[in-house]
Amino acid sequence: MSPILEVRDLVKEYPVRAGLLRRQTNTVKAVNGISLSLERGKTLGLVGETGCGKSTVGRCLVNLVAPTSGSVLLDGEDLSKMTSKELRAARRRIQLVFQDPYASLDPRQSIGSILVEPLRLHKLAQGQENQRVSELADLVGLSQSVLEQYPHELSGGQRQRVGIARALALEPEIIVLDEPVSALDVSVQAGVLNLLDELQEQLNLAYVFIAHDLSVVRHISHEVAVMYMGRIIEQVSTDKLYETPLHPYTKALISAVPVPDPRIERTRQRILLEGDLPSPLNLPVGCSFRSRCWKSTELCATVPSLIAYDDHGVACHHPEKP
Amino acid sequence: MTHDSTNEILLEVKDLSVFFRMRDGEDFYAIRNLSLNIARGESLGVVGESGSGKSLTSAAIMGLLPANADVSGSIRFLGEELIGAKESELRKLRGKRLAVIAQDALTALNPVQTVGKQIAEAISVHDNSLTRAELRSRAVELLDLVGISQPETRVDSYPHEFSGGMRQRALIAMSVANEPDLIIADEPTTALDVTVQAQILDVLKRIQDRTSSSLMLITHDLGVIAGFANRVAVMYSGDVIEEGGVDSVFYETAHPYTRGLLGSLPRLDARNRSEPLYRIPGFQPSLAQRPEGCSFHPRCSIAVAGRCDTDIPIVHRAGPEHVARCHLVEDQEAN
Repeated sequence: MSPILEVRDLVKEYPVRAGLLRRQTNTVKAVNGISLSLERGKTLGLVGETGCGKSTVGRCLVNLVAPTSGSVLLDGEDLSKMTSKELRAARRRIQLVFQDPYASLDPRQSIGSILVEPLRLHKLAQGQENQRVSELADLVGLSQSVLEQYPHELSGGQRQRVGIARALALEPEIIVLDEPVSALDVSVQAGVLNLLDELQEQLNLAYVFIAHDLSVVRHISHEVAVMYMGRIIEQVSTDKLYETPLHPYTKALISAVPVPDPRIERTRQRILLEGDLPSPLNLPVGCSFRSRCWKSTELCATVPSLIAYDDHGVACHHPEKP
Repeated sequence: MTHDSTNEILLEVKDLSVFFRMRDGEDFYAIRNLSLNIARGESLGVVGESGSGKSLTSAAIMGLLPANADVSGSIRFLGEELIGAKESELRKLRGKRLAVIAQDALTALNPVQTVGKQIAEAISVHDNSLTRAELRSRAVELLDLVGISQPETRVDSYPHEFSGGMRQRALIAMSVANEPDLIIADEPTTALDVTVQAQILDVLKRIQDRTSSSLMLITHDLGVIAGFANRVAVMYSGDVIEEGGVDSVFYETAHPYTRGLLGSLPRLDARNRSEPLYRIPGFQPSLAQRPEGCSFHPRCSIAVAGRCDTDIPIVHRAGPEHVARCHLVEDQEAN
């Protein structure tokens, strides 16, 4: 099956300006040449720590920011080569759900009118907008009375459901979810994760699930890509990643996540990484994980490329034995 | 459990209630009849979702509640009653025997003073016999203790020159500067990435081993509790609804809320999409609008009408050193 979404060598650079004249003094490569593909009805998890570029990738996917180079292909068609009319149609098929459901909803609009807006803009369900809005509320498990309310009257979980309903309004095929549950309490998070599962099954949606929480990502994704400083360093089907991680960074990352089980916690070996994430302005030459890696050698002064062992991709000169 | 052999109770909170007087007349109890103990050398995890009163409890212990809060009950620390104690007495205690590690390290540090100065100040406030050079070398020592590399140079850095993890380390250095008996850490790793969180928890553990101070770790992360605490108190809507040794609470969970919370967590060690997560219906009420009876009853799948919705549950013994505030927990024989 051909992928519904493909990313090829995506690069996004941001200029760094300084001084009185705001001259450009440097560039930050937020995303440094990544490739991805996503099939219909599947979830791709994109994980990494603060500043690894995962949200920038998400924004490039929906064309909220234009990539510096590389391409995003929707059903084989390059978003950057589309006319504005084509782009508008393409945007309908790929929607974004934001992390902060409060900041992404207009406080002065009722939930009903927030949900009608995308329908009007895209001239969908004309004449039957209200009926469609009430269907959407049902779909995400919101009661009809919520439609009369305003964002501040809702709980965090309800707001995130509104965010999801708004994305669903245009009957997209792909939803990019940028940290959709990280602002929610765990008991509420579970409801939203289950809802995403159900919707995927029901509507054959493809998700790009961007998150820093590795437990959540394991639960929801079919395949996971791990990012570090703008690059994908490991990519494979979910259980394989968690059971036999090949990249030292992935291994350390997984070992650092606490498990809510005291007996298991007492026996777990943590890999404690030295130091902090490097500054994106001053990355180590070669492999960017080199400064924190216990396996690094002179070889690591060159950038490792993403090599697939069977279908397990890893970008490391000294990968673990599979 | 691995308590100190003396098993000396360091902090004893009994029937603590915090009552807020509001300007609009809508007064309410934010915390009611909360009881907690911490023994010397022990780590107590306090877990709960946002709005459960975790941070308020720590503020009450520190005597740092806002002016419109009325506190009743008893908080005994090292045998001394803190409620009603003079501010000057509390000030001698705070930062000396009772220390706090704040969640947000950036706002907790003074941006226009070097990190070293701030650590020195934490010491000299309680002991002004040390010379400047002594204070400085003590600050270097402390930065080294919390795992900051090149402490001799870092001691002269300003907070903005530190990364998030380093700032948190600096705060820990400040809080342990006077070798306190009890450290209250309020979500010390929430703002940090998981690899940095692991480093910080490691530092806390090492410090605790070295100084045998007790730790009250406030967090929303049950995983952190599982790996760090000896005992755990679960808070819901201003009450401790379950409390006991970590193993008892995690494996012989007594309260339906705790059970729901554990069931709703996606786990790192569970296979992909193995089963749907448990979802606790509804959401936590605000402290100002607690339902009648048991605060959890509207969300509870086993609530009994005529009891759970009318009577506030008392504390029942769910096992040895394990209690739960639920009508449906049968009292176990004490042993």
